Amino acid sequence: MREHALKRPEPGKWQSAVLAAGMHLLLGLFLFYSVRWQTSKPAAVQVELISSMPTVAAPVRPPPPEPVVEKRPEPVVEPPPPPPPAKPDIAFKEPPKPKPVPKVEPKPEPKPEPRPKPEPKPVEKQPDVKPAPPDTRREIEAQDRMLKEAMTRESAEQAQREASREADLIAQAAAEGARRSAANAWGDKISARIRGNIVLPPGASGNPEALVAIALLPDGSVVGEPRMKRSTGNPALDDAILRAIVKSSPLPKPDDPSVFVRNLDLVFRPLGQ
Amino acid sequence: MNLSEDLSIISLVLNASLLVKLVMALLIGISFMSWYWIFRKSFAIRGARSRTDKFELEFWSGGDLNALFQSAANDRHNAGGMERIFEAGYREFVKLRGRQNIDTATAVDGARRAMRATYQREVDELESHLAFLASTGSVSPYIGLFGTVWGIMNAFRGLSNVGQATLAQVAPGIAEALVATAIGLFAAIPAVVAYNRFAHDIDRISIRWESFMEEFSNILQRQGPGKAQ
Repeated sequence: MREHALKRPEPGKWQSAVLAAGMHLLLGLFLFYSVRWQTSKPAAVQVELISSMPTVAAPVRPPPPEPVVEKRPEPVVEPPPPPPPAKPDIAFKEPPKPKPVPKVEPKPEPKPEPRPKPEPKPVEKQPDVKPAPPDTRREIEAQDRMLKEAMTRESAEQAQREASREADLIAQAAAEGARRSAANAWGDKISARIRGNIVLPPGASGNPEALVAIALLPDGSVVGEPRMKRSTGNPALDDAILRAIVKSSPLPKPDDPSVFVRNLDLVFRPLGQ
Repeated sequence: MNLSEDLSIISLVLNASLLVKLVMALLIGISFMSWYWIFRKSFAIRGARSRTDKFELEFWSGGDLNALFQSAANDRHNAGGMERIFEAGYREFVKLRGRQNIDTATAVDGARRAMRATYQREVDELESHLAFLASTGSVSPYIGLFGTVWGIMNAFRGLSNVGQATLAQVAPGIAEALVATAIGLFAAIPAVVAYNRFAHDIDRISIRWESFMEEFSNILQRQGPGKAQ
């Protein structure tokens, strides 16, 4: 009996093995295709139009070399002795602003001036933008100093020195100008990216301007929280800007890697160009 | 952007960590075996049922018991469970009836014992490997869960090295890990369903066999004294 029981035929051994294999093949195909389908959906395309920005920045380049002579008086306003070093500072803080263009132009005109009065007026506009608070007092000081400077410079010695320095400065300024335009282009790119992510609070109007300190990694991603250095005056708008910056991380990288700064001070106009 | 990465099932499986891969391989093996037994058991149960139907029809159509016994004994390998029970009982009854000092009641008792032994062997044969389906159904979700937990642990550990945590950094790891749970469930659900169904089918078949044993004992008892010697 026992032998007989052991000898009994096993029905469908191979059949079930094949069916089980087919079952798993089916499941595998199903998983393969269904999971594929899901992934193809979320591919959204984000387009950023950055290329038009550099053209705005381009005209900036020619002016800097010319006004070099002129610029010397200007930096004197804050730190008298080293005129060229002052510029890079400004260049980094200002990059996103297209303002440099107007800034530079007013200078060439006042250049041939012996008269100090007309000069300060165009200059006045720039300090507005950069060193903010003590406008008027500085203006006056600046005017006075400029006057003196202008007088002294007319002396022959200085004229000679300047001539030699000028050559250096022109070379420096040319490099500086290229660098600055690259920095401007980068600033424009960043502003464009942030502008794309900002959700403006209701009631924001005019052309407010904020100065934001952003810490960056080399790949452009934002480290920590950006800080508002100078508020737009509208707290809701400030918050919106900060949020937009965090959301825009990673920020675009500059075309010229040497322009990259870890701690970027960005001047940002949420409403304007 | 991590989201646009290829999230197809193959890349998910290939990117998983070693332990998760092992778990997946184990689960696929279990799943294969459980499907294999599901198909084999369903063939065996279907065969047992159809043979029981056929034999019941032959038996109750009033044929000669001796002729039925002959055909059952000759065709043992294709005989169904009920046919084997009949064969064992009838063989024992005929043997006992031939003895001198044994009355019908004792012979019928002996036949019943023989039938019960065969019945238990047949039911045991039908129920074999059902335990495998039962444990597959209860254990493979846990194995899958283990793989998932391990994979998610790794995903989060990798996350701690990154300064800025975003969902996109964890999502692929979690998706990988969840594949293990998916495979575990795929193995478990059919095993549980099949186990329940097979247990029910086998119960019904064994009830039919048991009632046949009782009825056949009665028939033996009735015809016992007349044919004795």
